[in-house]
Amino acid sequence: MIKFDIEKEHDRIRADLQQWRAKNAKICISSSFQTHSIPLLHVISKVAPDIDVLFLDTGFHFPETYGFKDEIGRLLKLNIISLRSNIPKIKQRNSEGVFYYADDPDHCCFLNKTQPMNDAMQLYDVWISGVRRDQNANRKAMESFTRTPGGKMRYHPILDWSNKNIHQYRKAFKLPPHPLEKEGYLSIGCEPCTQKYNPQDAREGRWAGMKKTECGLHTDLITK
Amino acid sequence: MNILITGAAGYIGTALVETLSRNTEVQHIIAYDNLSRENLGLLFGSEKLSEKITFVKGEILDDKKLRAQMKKCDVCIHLAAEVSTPYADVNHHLFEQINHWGTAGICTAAEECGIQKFIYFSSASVFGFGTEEFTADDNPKPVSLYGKSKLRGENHVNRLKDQMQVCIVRCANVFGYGASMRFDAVLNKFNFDARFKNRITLQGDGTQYRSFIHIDNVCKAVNGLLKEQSEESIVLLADRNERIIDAANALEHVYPDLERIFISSHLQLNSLRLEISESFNQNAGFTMKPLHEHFAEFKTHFRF
Ligand code: SF4
Repeated sequence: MIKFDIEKEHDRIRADLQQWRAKNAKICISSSFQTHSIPLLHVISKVAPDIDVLFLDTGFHFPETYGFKDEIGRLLKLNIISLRSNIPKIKQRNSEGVFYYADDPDHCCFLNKTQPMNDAMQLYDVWISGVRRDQNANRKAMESFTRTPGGKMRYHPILDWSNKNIHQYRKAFKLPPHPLEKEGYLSIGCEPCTQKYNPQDAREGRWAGMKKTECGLHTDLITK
Repeated sequence: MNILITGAAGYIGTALVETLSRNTEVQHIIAYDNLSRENLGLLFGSEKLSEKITFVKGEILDDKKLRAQMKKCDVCIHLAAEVSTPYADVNHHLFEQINHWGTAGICTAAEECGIQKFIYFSSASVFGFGTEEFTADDNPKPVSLYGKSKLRGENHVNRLKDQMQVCIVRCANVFGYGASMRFDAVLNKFNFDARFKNRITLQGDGTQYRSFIHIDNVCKAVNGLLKEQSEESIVLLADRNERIIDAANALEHVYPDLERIFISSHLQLNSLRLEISESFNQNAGFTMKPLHEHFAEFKTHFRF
């Protein structure tokens, strides 16, 4: 992106959404309610305030994340819907009684993120996601407009925003940070799979020690 | 008032169900428990309990089953926990599952099921150890894995404060006769061992303090908390602080030939004392009597 013009970004995203809104398409946005997720939620609150904001409540979030979600929901007047697995936690344990996150995180992510999101997409035509190319190698290769394996539209409006743009946007609108950021967490997901930022590890603290970098939402629910 | 009690068939739960079933303001009690301790004192006994109790066998990690019951209630008393047994600081993942994530799930369910009052039984062990009495304003520094997991549970409960009345009960060691006995709590174990072995075991030199509360007083306190519109969200529940050795001396009043074995008597172990709130305890109508009288009363419950 040559020059980051917030007004133009609003206009671009509004126009992109208009093509589907004109056809009465049902649109949702998913959000993990991290500090860097808030700019896109703010954009949406300006250009399309009526769309549903889906929060994947895995049941393993930090208490601070639930509080932050509620705070942002009030601040931006969002319609937040929590999505949960149909599989109760008592059935999310291996044969030794250990939660899957400590044994098979891919399966845990499948049960608590991919499957509920896939189910929810039965109700929507367009899914907005705030993935950015500068986040990891998988996202670098993504397109702004693509589809889920089920044929629903995926729209990535801030794919080309940089970390700096996120910062500029947050500053422009004085958007609050996730409360755990000041404690040294940069990327905040489920508590069992999140660690504080370690300068020795460029992974930003998610699934530390593993090759895993994605939860499945952006690998399984996307056509390649 | 319709109340869901998790862990209702446990030691405290059973006594609480009995007490609350006599409270005329309580219309219905859902006693939710997975019966993991295989203690059926809530369900069997010679004294009949009120018809307003429904028993549901269920896990707190079974979100759907729990929510189905919670929807019928306006108060939730969350007692269910993986409890620690002294000197067995193992299986941290189980503490995490039940005490942390189980509580997190119950909190989300409470939010969505319209619970108006949430009472969480935490533990004095969230404070760790110290030479002074702990007050509700002190910063918790748990040492045991159990204490750590209970504090993590508290953090989830705290986030409910904007939406409902919340009370976190940091409860001392509970003792006294109940229909679903626990004999891994120190004073109950003393009484059991005194009666059947005539010998008790003390860890260290016995001069360490612990906070205690009689089970009847726990029930009175919760009954009071149900009525109260308290601003205080943290309650320290204790009716006495005692050195372990003094508890042993009190037991000797009841069992004069009692022997005691000290394990590692060269060690002076850490103490944990809670500030006793005389005003809270008086308002709740606590019964206060010397330990030896409690122990004499306990003795009457042994069947031979
Ligand atoms: S991020 Fe961790 S806890 Fe969350 S769903 Fe994936 S494996 Fe489970």
